[in-house]
Amino acid sequence: MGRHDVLIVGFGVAGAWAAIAARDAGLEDVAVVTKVHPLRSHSVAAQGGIAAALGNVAGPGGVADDWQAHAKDTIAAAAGLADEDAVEIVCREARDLVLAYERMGCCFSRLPDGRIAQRPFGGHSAPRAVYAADRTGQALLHTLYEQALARGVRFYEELFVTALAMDGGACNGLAGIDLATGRAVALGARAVVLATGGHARAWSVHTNTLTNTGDGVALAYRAGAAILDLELLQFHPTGLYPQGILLSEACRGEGGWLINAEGERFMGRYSPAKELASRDVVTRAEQTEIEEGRGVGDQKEALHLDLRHLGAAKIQERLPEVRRLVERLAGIDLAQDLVPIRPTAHYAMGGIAIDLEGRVLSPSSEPIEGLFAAGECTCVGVHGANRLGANSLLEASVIGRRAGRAVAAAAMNRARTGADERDAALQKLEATMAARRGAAARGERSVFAVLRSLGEVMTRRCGVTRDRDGLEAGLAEVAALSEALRAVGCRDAARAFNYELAATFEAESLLLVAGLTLRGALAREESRGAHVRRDHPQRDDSRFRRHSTAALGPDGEPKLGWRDVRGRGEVQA
Amino acid sequence: MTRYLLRVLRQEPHERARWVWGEVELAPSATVLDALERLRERGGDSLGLAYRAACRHGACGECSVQVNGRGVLSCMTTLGSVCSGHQRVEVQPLAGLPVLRDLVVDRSRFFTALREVRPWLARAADVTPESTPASELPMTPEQLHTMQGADACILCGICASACPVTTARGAFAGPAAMLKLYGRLRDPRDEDPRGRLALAHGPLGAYRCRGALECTASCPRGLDPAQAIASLRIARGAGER
Ligand SMILES: Cc1cc2nc3c(=O)[nH]c(=O)nc-3n(C[C@H](O)[C@H](O)[C@H](O)COP(=O)(O)OP(=O)(O)OC[C@H]3O[C@@H](n4cnc5c(N)ncnc54)[C@H](O)[C@@H]3O)c2cc1C
Ligand code: SF4
Ligand code: FES
Repeated sequence: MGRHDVLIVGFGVAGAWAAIAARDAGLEDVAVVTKVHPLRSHSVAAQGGIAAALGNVAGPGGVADDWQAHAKDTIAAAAGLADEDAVEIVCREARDLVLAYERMGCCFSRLPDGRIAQRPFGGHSAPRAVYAADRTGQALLHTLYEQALARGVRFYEELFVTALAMDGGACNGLAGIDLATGRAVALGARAVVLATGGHARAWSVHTNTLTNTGDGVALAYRAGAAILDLELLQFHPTGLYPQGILLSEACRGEGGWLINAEGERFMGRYSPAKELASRDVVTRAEQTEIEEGRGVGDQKEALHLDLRHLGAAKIQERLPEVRRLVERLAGIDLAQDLVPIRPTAHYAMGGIAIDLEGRVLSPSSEPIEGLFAAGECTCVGVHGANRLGANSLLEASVIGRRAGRAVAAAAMNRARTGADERDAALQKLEATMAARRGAAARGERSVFAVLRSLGEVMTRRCGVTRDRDGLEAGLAEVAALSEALRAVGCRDAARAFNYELAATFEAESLLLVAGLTLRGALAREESRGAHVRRDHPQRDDSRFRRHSTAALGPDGEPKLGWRDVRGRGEVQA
Repeated sequence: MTRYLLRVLRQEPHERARWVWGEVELAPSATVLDALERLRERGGDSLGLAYRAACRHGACGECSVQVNGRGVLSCMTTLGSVCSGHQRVEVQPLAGLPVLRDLVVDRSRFFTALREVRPWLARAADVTPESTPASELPMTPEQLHTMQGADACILCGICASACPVTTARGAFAGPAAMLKLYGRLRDPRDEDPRGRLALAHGPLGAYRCRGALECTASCPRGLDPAQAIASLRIARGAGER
């Protein structure tokens, strides 16, 4: 059994920063565990940019940008649910963070005079997005990977974490499946950081990497953490029909139009900003068009994105990747033809409750000893009910770095304990795997069918717009699928790279997250940001200007509650 | 909807490879990855079919396989684009790497080679970027451009697997590693041009290349590692920056 000072689960930008910062804080023995190769983490696919008020490009009216303006925009977008102390920290540290990326060798796009280029982004009052062409996430993640190699960070690749080892409420390790061998393994640590990313994959139409299955939320929930605001899931307005693969925000930014089945450019009826309104507004408008029968395509569940008027030259210059993507995947040249698009599940604003140093919190806001988290799997309170583009790579990086420093300090003060708990976790996992592997007869319903059904349930019952009847039906359907999952097992009896076995664990996480999301969506009887209730169309600050919380109750069922939004705290401008 | 016939090479550890057949009905705009997913879900001969994939849109480099004999990203290869007429699609693991199961190969040689060329930015002064830098290190768009797209490489491994020298287990670090090395040599912020040149001209380096040009022909990002290798051969110092 391997032992380390700190184990970091996940190597998106959040986990990567945690590893590097823990290492630089003086910890010798930092190891990263990922279920895919670290470079394939979802962060690599982020396109548009990372926000930081460098002020390298003059904004409208020539006003110099500053972090206060960035914080103000972020709070405004969050629709009353931003924790302002977290917003301040993240916006204040943004400049330093971007300079650290650049000092580590990140190849950002540049201005002619050699400074870092910046571009406008929806909801930001100044050109604030630092970018690397349309592959910003790749530039960031590859840089961090190189730095981790240079520092001798140890990697456990393709090791799927399925359980935390808990000793009387404190975390001292984990257990998981080594996908290459199919063996259960346990690893010990003085502290663990969860940086497992989002879970939009629970919806059938989504932009996420296949591995984003909410495992971190499930692990933390079982360890007693509070889970916040899962009902707040951002849908992106331009997912390529039918799969929902992201067509960059730049499609609207560069002047694209949205057109319904009657050939009407409909956004004017919903917002004076037309296509440039914020994501939640555009997505809701699209959904209304579809629900009122003005959708296009066989199923009438798409709309058209029209970029033709930009002309081939501008398209080639500004949107080359999008053009290539649409060409390859839909066989459409967007300079010539309309592109079918639909709203697509994109980003989880909610997640594990943490403080500003990444400490995982219980429902009473007490830190859980030895357990930290950062990135999209958490809810530190920056995005509230609606995330601004380019703010999530930033938040994941800043909080990841802070969590890395904090976990280093915690690990130095904590003895190694709990070999017994790890043995217990290991034995339990071995037993579960043995029971599932090769369990069901050939040809029966598989875990993949369960996952497919789950996606359909979430898209139908908990999509862009929701109501009580639909959510209750969804909850019953998720319960039935959880029942079905217990029956299907894993048809594949092999050991090496048994992805069907891994999928049974992913389905458990996704079903848990889906159930909590539906419960939160039922409890939040209002419409705010990304959460739209047809039966409660108004925002209700008196009851719901709060984070919803869910935690594992003593009866094994989730216990729901509410937590107040934090103000500016001790941090002063 | 079109009916596609797939032929997939399967292999369990320590067993002989065997072809399995499977039929899927999908739109021509569906990808090879979609087809593999269907086959695995259905079971039968494809029960447990192992393949790697993550982002689904050509950004991560995880899903490289051979389709009809060529290295491609399965998520960016539509069925319509690989079979006209005969309606059959042949899927095999990437060439030149040990097979672990079915389409899953052991990539450790590829990533070891990457580590050997030390792709991280070399700077004597700031070993810890943790300490707050006061200002940016300037770099013009032209300087960025001379890196030949090293920063756009997703490390999918397709070039290395198409390269006859790399797959023959010569000491060559391979085209992707050479491209990364070239990028850092041209990076105006890098403080170790001599070390870079020593690697480029050393036993793992650019002189191992025999000019097959397969890397450039196969790169799904349209990059030109062959050109970077040619430039490394004649590079004599950092002065060309
Ligand atoms: C298409 C797309 C474009 C985007 N563009 C932008 C943008 O331009 N700007 C922006 O700010 N944001 C953008 N986002 C959002 C942003 O990319 C993500 O929020 C962010 O990358 C999340 O990073 P992370 O470090 O939290 O997790 P991830 O990058 O998702 O990494 C998760 C890690 O956890 C590991 N993991 C998960 N479960 C387990 C397990 N059980 N065991 C072991 N390891 C596990 C994975 O292997 C992976 O390494 C975009 C999102 C999408 C979908
Ligand atoms: S150069 Fe091209 S083919 Fe080679 S690893 Fe990079 S992206 Fe893949
Ligand atoms: S799955 Fe990421 S490149 Fe194909």
